[in-house]
Amino acid sequence: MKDFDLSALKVLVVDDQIEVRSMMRNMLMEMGVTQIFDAPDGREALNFIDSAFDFVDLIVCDWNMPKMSGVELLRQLRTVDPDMPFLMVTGRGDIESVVEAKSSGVTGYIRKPFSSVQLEAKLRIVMLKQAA
Amino acid sequence: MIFYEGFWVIPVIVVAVSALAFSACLWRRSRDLRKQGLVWQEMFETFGYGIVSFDSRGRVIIANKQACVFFPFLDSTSQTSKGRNLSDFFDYLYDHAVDYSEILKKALEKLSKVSERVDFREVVKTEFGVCLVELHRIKYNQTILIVRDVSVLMKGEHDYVRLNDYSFELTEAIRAATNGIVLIDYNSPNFPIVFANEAFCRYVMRLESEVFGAYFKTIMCQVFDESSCDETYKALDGGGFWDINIQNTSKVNAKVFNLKLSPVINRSGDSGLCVGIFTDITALKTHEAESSKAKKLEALGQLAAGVAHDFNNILSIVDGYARLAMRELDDDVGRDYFEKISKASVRGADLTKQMLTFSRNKVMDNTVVDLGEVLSEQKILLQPLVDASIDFSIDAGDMDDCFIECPADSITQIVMNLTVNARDAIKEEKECGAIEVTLQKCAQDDLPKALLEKDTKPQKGYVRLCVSDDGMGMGKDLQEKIFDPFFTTKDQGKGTGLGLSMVYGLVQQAGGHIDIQSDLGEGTTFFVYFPLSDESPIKKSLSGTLDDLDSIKLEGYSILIAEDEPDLLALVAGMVERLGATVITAANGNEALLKQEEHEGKIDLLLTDVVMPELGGIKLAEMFRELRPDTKVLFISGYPASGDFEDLGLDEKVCFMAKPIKYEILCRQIFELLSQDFQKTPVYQAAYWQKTKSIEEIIKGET
Repeated sequence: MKDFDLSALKVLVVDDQIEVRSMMRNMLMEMGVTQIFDAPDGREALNFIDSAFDFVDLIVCDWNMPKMSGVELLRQLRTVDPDMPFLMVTGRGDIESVVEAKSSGVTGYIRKPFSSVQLEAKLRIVMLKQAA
Repeated sequence: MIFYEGFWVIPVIVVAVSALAFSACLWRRSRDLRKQGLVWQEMFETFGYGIVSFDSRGRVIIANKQACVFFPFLDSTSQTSKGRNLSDFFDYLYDHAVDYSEILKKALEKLSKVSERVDFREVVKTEFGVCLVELHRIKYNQTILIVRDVSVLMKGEHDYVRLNDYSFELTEAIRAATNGIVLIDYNSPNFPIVFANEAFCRYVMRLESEVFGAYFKTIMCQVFDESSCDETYKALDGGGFWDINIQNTSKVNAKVFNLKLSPVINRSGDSGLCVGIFTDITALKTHEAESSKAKKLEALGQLAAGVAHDFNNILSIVDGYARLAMRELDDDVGRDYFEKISKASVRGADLTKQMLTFSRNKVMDNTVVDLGEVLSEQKILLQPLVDASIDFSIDAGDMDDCFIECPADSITQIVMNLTVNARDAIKEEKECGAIEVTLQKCAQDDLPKALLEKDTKPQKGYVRLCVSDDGMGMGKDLQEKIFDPFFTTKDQGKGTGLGLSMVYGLVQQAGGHIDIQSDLGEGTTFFVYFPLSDESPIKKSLSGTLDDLDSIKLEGYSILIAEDEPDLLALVAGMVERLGATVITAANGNEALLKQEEHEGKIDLLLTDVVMPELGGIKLAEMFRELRPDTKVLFISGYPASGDFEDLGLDEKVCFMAKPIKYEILCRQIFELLSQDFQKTPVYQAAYWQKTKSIEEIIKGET
């Protein structure tokens, strides 16, 4: 089992609300992640990934966003990068959403509201899955 | 004697003359005969009947024109030689003979004079018309055939027979129709019934003999309710076309019909009769009601879901920052405040989860449980909700193998909400009362209509859970609304109105059905029907005693072991397997995380080393608490219990054991931990249920 270092992890946070982005940033910093980027919508996130490919190890993305939803972003991402670890943040637990997310290639998902402990656990799981 | 030479001339002359005269006579006679023959022939041809005569060998001797009209092949001038003998002719006749009714046969018999020597008489339909064919044997073994055109006569009879056939078929069709059909006499008072079919008799539950001639209005008022009768009488009195829905008064066999009335116009343009068509629309109405209820709930649910999502977002932010703040502050008081903020936002999140329960199907949890067992365990859990003044009993009956596909959690939610509802209904009006929770197997006859009309029926039938109280009861209007989300009869702030709609949602998810029986002032009973599952639950059993460690068995339990020393991991894994449990191994915290993510069922126990690289045991336990709150944790440590544990705030669910591991101690610890079921003390219950519902809210009566 490959070990990874949280401090070396580069995370991209995608959410349309600035409060959520800053809170995520704080949570991530708490658990030892130092390299955090954020994007306010799917378009910008894709641009960032295109231009700065090596700078993203993991994407944490909200499902419910105007303009481009998390699933749409995921689908577009998967056409260029089928392996990038993707953690979907969702308020939904219904079966249709789970199936939709899984079939689109999500690596893991976390339900709102969550604690930083949960976030760390899910983060680790997603990275471990990718390493495997 | 006078002989002269010319004497011989005279006899010759006499002979000659007489010969001439004779032959002239003959000639004349034959001419007369011929003339006669022609006359006869003329007569023969224009007789009007067709006549054919056959010789003893059956060959046609002669056939007149009329016969040839009917049977062209008889014509001697025709090219075909077929049909020119009797047997061919018979074949032809039999191919074309039509069987006509007795009446016609009798009429036809009168037509022909009966001769004892008639051998055969048939009515034959040819392309030229319909004819009556008679055969007579005459002298010298000859046969005469007489053919008479009876087309004109047949015409009237033809219609009559067809009409007879038609009306017979029609009558049978009406009789057999699945709709109730009744013919009513418009012009007589009280509208007597002229004709009614079988279905109508069945619908009004009367015999055919009682219905014919009976007054339609009388039958109506005996069978159908007041408003239905009023509408029907209005329709009958008014004449014309009507379309009304009527309801019968039977309690046992309640049905709704659609009645269409239309006048029957007779030939003179009057309407003497009225035809009523009854269609049984009970199933349709039931489906409509169910589907409109489902649609209403779905619409409300979607509305709620939209709101809930936004709330979740906001709550995440509040909770997130509160937790971060808690960590930043050194001040205890401040930390305490933030903890309260965090807890409140978690409660809010639980509320939104409730709203989302019925808005969409949650990820289906099809665990099979024994309803009887789960129910028996509820008593201790629910007792604190109903105070001593209410007589509360749970009787799971003597049902074994009552397996349903519904997680124990949902069952608890259902029973809890119904119990609280019952309690409040009692408390509204009086000081004391009784609540009874019972379980029965449900016979086919006891099933409500909605279940009987379902497409897929469970093989083993249904089981019925009843929660009944002797509280204030509810009227029909209230019963219709009671499952609506946000509907509550309680004062502002005292109830969210989500309890019963959540019950409805959970019952639907389990594939069941919920019914109410209640009357104002007479208490209420909720009937919850669950389909019985063909599968059995995975039996978990913890057996044995601490005195005899070898007797301890953990059937069906799953235990995850996280230990970075491979030898130790193998050792502990072996020990646990010996106890009969399913073991999942992980070499460190990360692997443990991954393995639990992949494991689909419940993990009963996490057995973890404290000191591990990358992700330590304590952090792992913390994560487990968030991801799998129903997993118990047993730490293995080489170090004595340290203050690290205090930070976790973990309660008695967490135990601790020191290395080196001894089998007996491991056994004992595991056994004690796993056998501490959640029913032992209220503290456990509060802690357990915190995840799904705030127990304080429930105790205070806010559901």
